[in-house]
Amino acid sequence: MMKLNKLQILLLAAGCLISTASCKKYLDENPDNRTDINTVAKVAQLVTTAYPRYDYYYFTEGYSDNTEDKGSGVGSLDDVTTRPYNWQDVIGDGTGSTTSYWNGCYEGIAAANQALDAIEKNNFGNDVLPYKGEALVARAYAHFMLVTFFSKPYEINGANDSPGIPYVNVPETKVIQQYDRSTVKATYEKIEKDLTEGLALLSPSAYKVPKFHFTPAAAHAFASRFYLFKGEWQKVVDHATLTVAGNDFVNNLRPLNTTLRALGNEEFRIAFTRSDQKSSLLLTEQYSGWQRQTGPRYGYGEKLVAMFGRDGNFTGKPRADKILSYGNSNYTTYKFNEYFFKTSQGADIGFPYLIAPLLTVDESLMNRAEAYAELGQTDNALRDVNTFLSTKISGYNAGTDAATVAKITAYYAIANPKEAIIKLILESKKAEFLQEGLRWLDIVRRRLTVRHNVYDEAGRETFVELKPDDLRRVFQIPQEALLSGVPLNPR
Amino acid sequence: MKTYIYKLFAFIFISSFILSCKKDEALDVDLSKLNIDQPVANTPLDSWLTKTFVDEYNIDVIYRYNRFYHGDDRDVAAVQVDKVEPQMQTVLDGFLLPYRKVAGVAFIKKYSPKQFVLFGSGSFNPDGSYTLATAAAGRNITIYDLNNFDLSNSGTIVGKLRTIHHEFTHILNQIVPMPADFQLITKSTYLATWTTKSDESARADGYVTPYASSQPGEDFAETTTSLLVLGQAWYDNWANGSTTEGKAALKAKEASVVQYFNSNLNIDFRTLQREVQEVVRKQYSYQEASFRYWMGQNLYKSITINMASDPVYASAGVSPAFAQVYENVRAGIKALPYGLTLNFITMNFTAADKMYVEINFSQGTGTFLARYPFNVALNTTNGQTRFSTGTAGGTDASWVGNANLIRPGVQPILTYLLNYTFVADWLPTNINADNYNKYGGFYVLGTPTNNFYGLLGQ
Repeated sequence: MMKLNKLQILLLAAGCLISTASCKKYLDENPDNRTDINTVAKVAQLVTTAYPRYDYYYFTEGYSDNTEDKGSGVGSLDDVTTRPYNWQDVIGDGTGSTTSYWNGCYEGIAAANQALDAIEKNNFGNDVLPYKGEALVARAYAHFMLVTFFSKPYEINGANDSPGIPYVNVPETKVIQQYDRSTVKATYEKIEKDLTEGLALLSPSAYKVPKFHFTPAAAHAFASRFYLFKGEWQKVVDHATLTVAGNDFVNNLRPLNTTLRALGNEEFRIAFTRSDQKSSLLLTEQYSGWQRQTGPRYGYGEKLVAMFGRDGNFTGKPRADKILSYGNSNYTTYKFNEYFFKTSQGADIGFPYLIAPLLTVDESLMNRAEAYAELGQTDNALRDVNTFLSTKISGYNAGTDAATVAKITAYYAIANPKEAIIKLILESKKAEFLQEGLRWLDIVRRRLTVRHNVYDEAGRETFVELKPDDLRRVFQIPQEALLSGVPLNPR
Repeated sequence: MKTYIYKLFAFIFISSFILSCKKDEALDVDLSKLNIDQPVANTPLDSWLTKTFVDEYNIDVIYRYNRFYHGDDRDVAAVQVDKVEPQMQTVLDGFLLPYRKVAGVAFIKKYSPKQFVLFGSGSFNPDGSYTLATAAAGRNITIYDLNNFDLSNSGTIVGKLRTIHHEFTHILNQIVPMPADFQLITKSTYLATWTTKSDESARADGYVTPYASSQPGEDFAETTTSLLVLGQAWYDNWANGSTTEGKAALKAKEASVVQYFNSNLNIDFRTLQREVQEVVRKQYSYQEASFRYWMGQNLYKSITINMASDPVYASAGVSPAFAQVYENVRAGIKALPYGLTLNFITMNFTAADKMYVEINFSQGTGTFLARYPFNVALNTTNGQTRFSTGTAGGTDASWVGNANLIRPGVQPILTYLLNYTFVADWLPTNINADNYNKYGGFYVLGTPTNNFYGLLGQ
């Protein structure tokens, strides 16, 4: 690819030289084909690219307890699955690496900054406001995901003076710009500022395909996630409530035990990340090989599949998820359909993409349930969880399968109702978002210990733990960032 | 894509680099002593395998232990040598020869898997199940768990035969893809966690086994295998015991399998089914493929004998003794002073031990029934059956009025049934493929030529 590009540029440059040599206003022209962002339409197009175009699935799933060791000799080995499972830094910037996600976020941020700069310098009027809002919220989102992965987790009521991540809010004009990590607290303040300012400007009707943009609903979903990390429970409730109209969650969740269940396997895979899924609030196409991970040694195996069975939850009924397998123990949720972008029509060469549901109604409802639990509103929390489960459990019967304090405190053997509800919420999300990376957010947020099994060559199984204060829980910042004066995380 | 190519180049480069660094040194090793388990290559078993499989079908049978063939993540035991010939004989009789006869010599020589690998133990999976066999690349079948193979136990033979047909169906699917419509019949209920599914739940959802519910490919192989090896009676019985939707699904799957063989592969499925069933019934005497077994299960609710219009009697023939009985009944009814005509005779099995003979007769344009109750004592092990007079199932005209009215005419068949000890069996023995499994009946113990049969109803 690189060689091809250079060659093209060279030819292009040669062509320009010949054709413009005689032009009088030679110096008035831009020396390249750059686009001036001088119309609202151009701003809108630019902001479309303000989202991370690489996935976080490999390393978040691998680090979390949504991955298991299937056994020595079982499945395939690959650095991007093996190293995260062993809580080692992923080397290089290949597909699925932490570096590729880092770069993807900052590329999105750069697009947002360029758009905001153009809005600043031009007088576009009120038409541009939705896209300004989108740029601000997308910038906030990318920084939030970065600070969640690459800095120590935000501690509610804590000092939060550990290093954050560089908050970039102006276009980069130097080849190597120096940046300051500042603190987690300062990073959160900037995220909140962009989010609040942007959210007020958003419009649900500014887009042809709204699911690929920060609509107000998507931004509220992001806000509910953000305030959940920040521990501002009432704000979580308020924002989560605004993700659907008229508090109608039940008809906007993923219909696992009805519509999706009735689909055949291939239909399911196509439908799951399609933009007509009401639950999906923000979709982004991402360059990824995650959908091709048919049989990694460290992945979704025999231990994890049990959580979908009748013993996996307090109702005694199985969840209605699709459970498919690429051969023994190599299970898959089959959520991701590949969209292959052919770079050569004649040969099967090109780039694999998937559509990532980054924000969903399902997550927002569970955020609200957790916030209700934290606020001491047990009934509200249970009602939300039951709404959630009513779309997930096979043969759900509201009369007999609804969670009650008595049932779940007994099931989890946790006396404190709040703790038991939160446990139920986290377990429900663990199953719901398997292979979607969200489990890791709960692990850092709630300081959960991760337990991994490890098989040695003789087939003996041992267990290792990643405790809440383990330094390895913070993903390593790319080596390249050192050039910009961004210090790496301690190891 | 490109990265992969680079990786490949890197690998080739590194390996050639390593090769070029390697220094050759003369090693002083006596290889004949090093290899302590030098196999004897020309045992009678080897020559039998060569003659029967390599020379005829170009099939290599590998039974000497080789870890390479089962993968290094499993521990699998070698096959006992004395299990090899019985197993491969089963492959020949129950699989290769039926296909050879029905699909043709060219077909079976071309498409039969070219490598059979045999292992003694099962290959245990992490979910607690174990693999019985695998098919790969349209060319290999690996069979496990052979040390439990027992020629005196028809159940284990049939089990292995199922495995072979299952794997060969995969191979057929690898060559000619399975029909897309099959995959949609029960598309919503496939789950990889089949080991947690019960037989009953699989049956209710329209699957022949829990394993069939794991994915469409396995479903297709299991459905085909059930039809071929377990037989149509088993399949029908399984479908009858399912839910309404499940039965419809099972019947739709059967139709899809038949269509696949008939149209896509150009193999007459019903003929193939008969060939395999003949082996299972006669060579292995598999109880659950016998007519007596299914009569004991009360699968077949009726046997209809219609000598006047059922063409099967013309093509397959009728036993003279029973033909006379039937003729006497027909003539006897006609001789009664009411202007009656016999239409046909049905034996209705309301339970495994209850039956009534039903005479369907006409007067002018009106059709009437007369019923005569029997008790049935059927031994499901040897098929011996005695009929004895039973109690009427009701008081309406068919049981009392009509029955008494025409009894003088019907008496010959009632007497015939009461007089002998019969044996239940698939009859006639020379039935054609289309009617295979659709006819059954009874012959007089010791005199197989004295028999009657009719169209089975479920």
